[in-house]
Amino acid sequence: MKTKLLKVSVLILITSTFPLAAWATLGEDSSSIMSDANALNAKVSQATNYSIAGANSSTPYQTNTLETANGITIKQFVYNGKVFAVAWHGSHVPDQNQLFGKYFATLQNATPSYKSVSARQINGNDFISATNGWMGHYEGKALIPSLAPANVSINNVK
Amino acid sequence: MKKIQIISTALIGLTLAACNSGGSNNSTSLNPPVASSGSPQKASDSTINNVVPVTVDGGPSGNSPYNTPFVSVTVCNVSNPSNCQTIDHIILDTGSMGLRIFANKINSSLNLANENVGGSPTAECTLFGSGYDWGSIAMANVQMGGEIASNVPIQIINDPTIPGVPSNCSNQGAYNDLGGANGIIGVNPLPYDNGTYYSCSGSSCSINSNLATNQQVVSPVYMFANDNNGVIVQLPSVPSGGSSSLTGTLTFGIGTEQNNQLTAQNVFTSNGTAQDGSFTTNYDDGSYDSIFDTGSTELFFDTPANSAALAVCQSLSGFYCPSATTAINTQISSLNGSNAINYSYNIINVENYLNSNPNTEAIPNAGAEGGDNFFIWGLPFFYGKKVFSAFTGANAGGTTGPYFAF
Repeated sequence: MKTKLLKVSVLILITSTFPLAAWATLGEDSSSIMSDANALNAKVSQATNYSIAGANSSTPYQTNTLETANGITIKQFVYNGKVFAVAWHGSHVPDQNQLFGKYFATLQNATPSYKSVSARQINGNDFISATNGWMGHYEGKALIPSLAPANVSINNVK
Repeated sequence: MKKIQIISTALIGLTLAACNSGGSNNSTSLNPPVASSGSPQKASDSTINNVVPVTVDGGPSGNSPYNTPFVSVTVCNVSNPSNCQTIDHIILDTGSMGLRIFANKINSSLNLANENVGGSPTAECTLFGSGYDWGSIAMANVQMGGEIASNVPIQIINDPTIPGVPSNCSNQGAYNDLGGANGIIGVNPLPYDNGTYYSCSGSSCSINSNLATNQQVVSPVYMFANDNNGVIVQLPSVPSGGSSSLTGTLTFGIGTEQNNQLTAQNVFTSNGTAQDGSFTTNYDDGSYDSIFDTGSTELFFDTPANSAALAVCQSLSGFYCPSATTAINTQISSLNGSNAINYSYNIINVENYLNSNPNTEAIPNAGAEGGDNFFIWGLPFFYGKKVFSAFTGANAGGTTGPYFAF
């Protein structure tokens, strides 16, 4: 697919062209038939291609966006056929066991680099996550650096 | 996500708040409160004490995060109202609703009754920005200063007398220990928490989506007999050299007593839209859902594309450590865009500040990464200010809530 070498280049595909099979859990194959959309009672809203400023044009990544019935927007980031990051926000919190898969235990149990009432951050060897918000206004994200394209950091996961 | 909004439209009707544009440098006198007009006020004519202390002191064991404000709350048995316990180090949180206390901080002799529905105890899965808490709902009288809320539902976190956390609760994130606090009291403009409630039977609890609103956890302040339309949080500026115990006040009611008049110059409502007290902050070409949140220890906002000066810290993950104090320029408005002001706020180098003030529990002007979708004005915003939070639907000082004001 065509990409532009802007920091955030955009190519929006209309939803219906993207199969649900594109949805996968963090760290797993995008081609594996995962049931995130069904499990999360969500509809696919759009798919977007990105490339990174300064990065080789052969290393673009894609994002797919889900909208759940209870008002959560979930974005999954795919590179080399793997989901390397997820980001979500909304008035509720998604099932992160579904979303983070084998990394969910790390999210729950790793020693946070920061935590308070409203924020929690993990800065692990190969798992970086951050959640923020207040009651009724939640957001979170996670990145697996070893699966991510070069030059993509947690700050690109939004 | 960043709402795409043309900044110039948000600036229509813009007014400058000259008195408050300097960040946290305003000095504020406490005890007795002084009206912003400068004229000294008499103490409240009411015999009810509507002011309690707020302390930023590192928590029960000194291990709570910096910039965590605490109050004491007295909880009493509904059937035997003289059977009470005062619990200190309850986090004061303008970003949540209701009173929640860890079970192991409550004396068994207090003997609070479960909130039973259909003969089964009620429980709640509570979600904060940092994770979940799980516990039963109990009925209690709640007293702060001279104010009393009778027979209100509160949460008993980690109550061992009900089944453990269900997976559909714990799957929503990490357990939240509230940073070692004994509990938390929410005074957000929304009175009821609209949470996920459960009915427990035998060894399991299942979601009960039919719990009546008046059976849900509610802000005790909203249920006070008097001074129940909102609160005022007033903290002093952090003194030079920092502070290991900074004390301010929490005042109940807005415009109900002589000591709680609505003196704020900037009122931000969410009327007609979210109805939950959130407002809008425009920053760095983005437009964000926003709140003045005592439960956030820093200002949390997106890494700016247009301010390279805001580098992150070397050792403090996620915090901003600009080489020199850096002003961020924002526009704050009601959700509908009205009452917009330009507001500039200084962000300091947190690492340098802590190196210079190693014993402080209060850090002024601290910022941190986060808030891809939100701009959260955490506790540093409150230093040197008087911030009003008015309940949804309440007439508070002549203006109908929900609103935040300063």
